[in-house]
Amino acid sequence: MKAHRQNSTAGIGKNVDPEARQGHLGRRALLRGCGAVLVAAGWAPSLFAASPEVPDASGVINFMSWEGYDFPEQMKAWREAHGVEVQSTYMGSHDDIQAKILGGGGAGLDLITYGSSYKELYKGLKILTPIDEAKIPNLKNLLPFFASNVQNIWVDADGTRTGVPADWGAIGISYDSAVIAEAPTSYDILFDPKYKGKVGMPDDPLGAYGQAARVLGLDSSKMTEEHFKTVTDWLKDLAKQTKGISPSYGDVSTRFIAGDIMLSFMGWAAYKSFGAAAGKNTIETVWPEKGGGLSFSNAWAIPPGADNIDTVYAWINETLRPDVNAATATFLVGGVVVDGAAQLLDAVTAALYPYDKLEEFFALAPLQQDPPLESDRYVTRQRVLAAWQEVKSAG
Amino acid sequence: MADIVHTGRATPVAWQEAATTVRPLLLTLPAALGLLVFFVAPLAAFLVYSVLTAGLFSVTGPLTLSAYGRALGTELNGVLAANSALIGLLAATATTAFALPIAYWLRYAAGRWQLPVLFLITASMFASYLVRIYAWRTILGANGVINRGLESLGLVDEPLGFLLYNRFSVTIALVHIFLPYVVLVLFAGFRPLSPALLESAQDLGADAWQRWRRVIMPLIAAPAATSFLFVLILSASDYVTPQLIGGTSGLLLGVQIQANFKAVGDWPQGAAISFLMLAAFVACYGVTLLGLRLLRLDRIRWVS
Repeated sequence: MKAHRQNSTAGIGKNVDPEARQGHLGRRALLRGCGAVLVAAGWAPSLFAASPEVPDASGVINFMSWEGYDFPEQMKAWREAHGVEVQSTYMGSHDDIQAKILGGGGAGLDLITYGSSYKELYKGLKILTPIDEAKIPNLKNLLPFFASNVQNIWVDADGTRTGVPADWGAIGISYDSAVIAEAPTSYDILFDPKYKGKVGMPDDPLGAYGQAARVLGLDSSKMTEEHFKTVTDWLKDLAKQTKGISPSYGDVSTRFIAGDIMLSFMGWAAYKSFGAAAGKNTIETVWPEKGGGLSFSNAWAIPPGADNIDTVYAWINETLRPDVNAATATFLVGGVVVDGAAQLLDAVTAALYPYDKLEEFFALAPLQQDPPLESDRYVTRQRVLAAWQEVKSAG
Repeated sequence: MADIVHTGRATPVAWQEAATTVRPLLLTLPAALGLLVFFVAPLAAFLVYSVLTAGLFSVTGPLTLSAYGRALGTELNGVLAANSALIGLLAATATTAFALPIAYWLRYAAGRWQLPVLFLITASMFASYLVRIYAWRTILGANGVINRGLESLGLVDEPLGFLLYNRFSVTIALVHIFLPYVVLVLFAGFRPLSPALLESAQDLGADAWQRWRRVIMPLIAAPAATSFLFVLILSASDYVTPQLIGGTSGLLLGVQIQANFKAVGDWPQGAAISFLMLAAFVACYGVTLLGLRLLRLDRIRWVS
């Protein structure tokens, strides 16, 4: 973790001493702090003009995202302190957001989230507006990976920020260790005849194509026609091993708990917590060496119809405090994005992902990249989504 | 003066005639406006969408029928349409068949149980649609009530897999969901039929089967046909139940409409499939009306 902190000091938070961020004011830090005060005294007017400042929060945030991302308890103190009311609309999938905004219902919508794989689509549909980094001082808290502009998910190639990481998670193979004692080491286990009808798969077409392509040594963001056919056939064969595609990840969890499935493609690490809450403590998730897995990350974003933007900035800034991020990650059964938050997690949530070797983990399970919106060379997102319906009914 | 008298007499009459003509129109105006805003206008919008050119989550000119070509040319749509027709027919037939005797019993034999049973049927509709679907998963699942029961009785060694995630489970859930509505419709259909009619038929020598076939069935045919169509249309166009308990074999055409609007972003094709389904349902309605007419059941009216 020390390496991460050092990396972070080279990024957005490069003027912030990690020791000071943790509340341990050492001698050298104290001296540097005194020096900074002296410099600030001489340059106070310009320094204050340039220093990041959280805007005042007030009024109503019209919010649309997954249920729970409005953090009813975790952000309660902040909401009450600022008299902010959050009016939430929950979505069944990210597709609901574009349906609402493009259908003319986006006026007054202040805050949304987007999954990392939706960046290109939302950018193409002009659903994302530029975010002023100066109004979110806590951006400096982001872990190095999330402070980077990896795959231009949060920051465009031209430096324009469109999203702020909120949480993350990863999918691999989930299995019920009560019936499968040895952790799967290959995706081949999903095709074992003895598990026919006992394999789960969620209705996540882009994730499914992304992960299937990785298993087959391909890249779903650069699929030729031949690759596309190979991946589609692989997924159709896998669909035959299932008793139907679950409409959501939650439904896969329900099937695990009910004993209807023993394994799941695109297994989510959070199933362990969901199962434990229902008295089933045996759902595990692994990322095999061959095929690995995929990660996803949800990001805060401001849609074009927002009219209480300053309060949204204040909201986002608050969520990037280590204690708040730890609380929200625990609540969402997800990964933290802020330095110092992992240490504040409870044991179950902390065990979901290896925070001591995150860089290695993201190499094994990189953030999902989707097929292009338009391309003459590669199969597009629209074709993948249309083909997914054939996969769903392939049984 | 004569003119004045004439005018004075004619005005109230004309006014009354006009009122007689206009009043029904005024009374139907709110309902007509409601239909216009909530049914006709969205349909018109869909019709326009279906003949526009598809962009990604957008529509542009020029006008084209290509969306209908894509909808009809996609093999999967044909498979799902056949599935929709099959499951819709199964659900509609089963629901009507179960509901008829229940409604008959409620009307003529329930006695003091009529009110409590009607209350229970109505109360069952307060349970959420999703809760009822999940209840069937609990009943039919590998660790569900049926499989656990069979295993504990030693009748099976391992759970019966065919109970869930197929057409069978979708049909069962749809029958369960629509049965209360159809029972109430048929009960209302039986309501005006006086028991004296059945007693008269019995006095004239008709046995139980003849009373059903010659008296009750002709009179209940129209409400039963309406109920059948009601369940057929709602079942065949459902897309939630099939996704939750339909498995890979129980998906219906409705999922394609949803996918085209929400995920794929091909709005014209989604609208075109909707209109093709609407055309199919209108055809079903026409066939039903024709059948009633050919059987001379369309003009039968209740005698109180």
